Amino acid sequence: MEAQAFLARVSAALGGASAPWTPPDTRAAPSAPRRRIELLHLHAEFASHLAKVGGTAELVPASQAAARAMELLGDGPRVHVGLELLPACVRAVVARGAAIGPDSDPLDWRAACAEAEWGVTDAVQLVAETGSTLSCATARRPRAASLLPRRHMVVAPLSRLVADLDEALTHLADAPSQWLLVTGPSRTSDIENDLTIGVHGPGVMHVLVVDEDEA
Amino acid sequence: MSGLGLHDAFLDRARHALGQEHLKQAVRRTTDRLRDGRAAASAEAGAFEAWRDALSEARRRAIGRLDVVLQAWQVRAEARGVLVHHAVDAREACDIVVGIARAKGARLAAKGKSMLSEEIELNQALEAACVEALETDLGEWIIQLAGERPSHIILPVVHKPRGEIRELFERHGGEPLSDETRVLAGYARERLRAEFLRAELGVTGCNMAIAETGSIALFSNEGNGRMVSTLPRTHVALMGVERIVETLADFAHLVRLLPRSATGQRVTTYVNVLSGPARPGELDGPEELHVVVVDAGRTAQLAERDYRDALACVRCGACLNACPVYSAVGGHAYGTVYPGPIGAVIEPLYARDDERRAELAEASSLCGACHEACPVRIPLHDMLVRLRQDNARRGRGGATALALQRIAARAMAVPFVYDAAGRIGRRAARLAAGGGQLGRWALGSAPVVRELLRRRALPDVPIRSFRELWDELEEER
Repeated sequence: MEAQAFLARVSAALGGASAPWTPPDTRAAPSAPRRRIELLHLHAEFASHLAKVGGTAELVPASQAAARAMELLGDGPRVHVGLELLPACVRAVVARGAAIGPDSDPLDWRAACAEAEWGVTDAVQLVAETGSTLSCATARRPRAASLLPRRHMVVAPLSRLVADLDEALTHLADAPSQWLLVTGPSRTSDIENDLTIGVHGPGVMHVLVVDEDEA
Repeated sequence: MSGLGLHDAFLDRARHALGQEHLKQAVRRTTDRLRDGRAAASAEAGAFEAWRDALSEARRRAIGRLDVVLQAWQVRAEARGVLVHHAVDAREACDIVVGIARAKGARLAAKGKSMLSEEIELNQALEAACVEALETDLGEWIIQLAGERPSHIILPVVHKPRGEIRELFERHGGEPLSDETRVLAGYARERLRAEFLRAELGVTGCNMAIAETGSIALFSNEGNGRMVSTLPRTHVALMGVERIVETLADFAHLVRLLPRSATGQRVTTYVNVLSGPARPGELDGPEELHVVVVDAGRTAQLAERDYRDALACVRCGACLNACPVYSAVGGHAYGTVYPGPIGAVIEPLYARDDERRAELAEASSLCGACHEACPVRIPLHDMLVRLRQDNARRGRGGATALALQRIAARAMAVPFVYDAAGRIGRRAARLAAGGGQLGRWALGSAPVVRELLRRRALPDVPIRSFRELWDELEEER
């Protein structure tokens, strides 16, 4: 049915056309950066909620981030988002060897993701309230990097922590083609209520929170 | 139709369900687990009641001016490249999806979990057009392999023991498997992964649209919803016309309450919000995103003021888990796409089906547990009473029941008559319950009583009425 006729039916069911809708002004005023102590508290909350659903988060000083990432990633096949999105200290480690990212040439992105052991992504925000990472699809941040690999690693600076969903969502009024909250590994309880991890998406979700200000 | 106006279909299916020990235990175990999860989540979160207030208000606000909210959503969605379609009924919705599949030359449609797709019977329509429709949610896939219908809104396969699931998978793959959950889920992962990559079309539902940004949102735990909305070149989302909130701030309340109410999770593993297809330069994501806005009886319900609130439903399934009737008989007894209290209210209204209206309104104890569990506070038990009233008014209650109700109404209006009738009734009932074969035969031979006894167990009848006891207590004071 034509859109206008369809909407007219809805208006009729309501008993007449409604007054015009005006969009709310939800864009938050830019807030002052959080103090380090607040961020550390938020990280503790974030890590504890993520742990409850089988994900893991750890806070590492920038000086040790590369070594830790190397240790976790090993030498298996790897895909990643645009390197410039990741903290500078881990870029070389993520890109070494046969890693594939948006700049690789030639590029069969889907096949690379499907074969990857690890997918390494950034996060726009880390939401303490739920233990979620927020990502937004862009040309530099393709979606399958956090979907098809067996394991998903998020690397983000401590400063990306926000307190709650309300705060996270105020950054999305400009609507990227996709935004996504990820909270832990893929799971199902469909078979006799028995929880299983890693049914379709990654079976491991690890968040490396990089503390760039550590003295 | 029988003398007391109850249809036999629900009763027969319910009796059948009650005779299956595994089913009874499985449904009970599941509803207990989900209900406990919800209780724990609501106790843990200090603001649970405030969130319920906020979400209830947000849903009713959007539905109260649904026309302009839908229009605002559409303008923004189209600006971001979404192709919006409108379907008045199930057939038109299926035709639109089949048309897209044909235009794209699709042979395989990989599907995320969608109750609306069950409602409009999309799989049958796609198969008729020679497009394979593959369910990819683990539970839905099992249901599809078994050729059944889901028995729960969010856990479609609660009724199935793992042994049967193993047998289904063994028949599908032609190789022996074990009963272990890990092995069974692993088989599904491996088999479906290839299909995700092969499918030309991805089909999903839409948990909620957001007018402010022209978006649709998908909640999932397994990740199959992300697969089918990321990998195929074309993504079609089915959206019930009422599934919309106005703002991102409203949506935040849904993110908090839908998972908590459904499974007790703080948030589902994935909350995936889409605003248009992949943009230029993006390496993945669909080239086309179609959203089919489906009415299928919903605007008719919107016009019925007494039942409009039921459109606020967010399909969490909490009312199923709270319902003593659902917990006892499971979803299939309802014979509907949407089971439980919410199904008993919305399904007959969607389908404009007076027979079902009459039948399912009775499938409730009217205890109000559904209302207490509902994250958007839909007064389901009030609606079920109203549906029963409608039935009586339409003469759907059955002639005998109506006559009995009229007599009862008269008797209750006059204390003297009420007392006398009570005395006679109690004697007669005691005679039937304790008076041996003769008494039961005597009472059972009355057709009206026979009808009653066929459907309900006779309660223990007290020797004295409440009023008599009250008089005695008064004297003792």
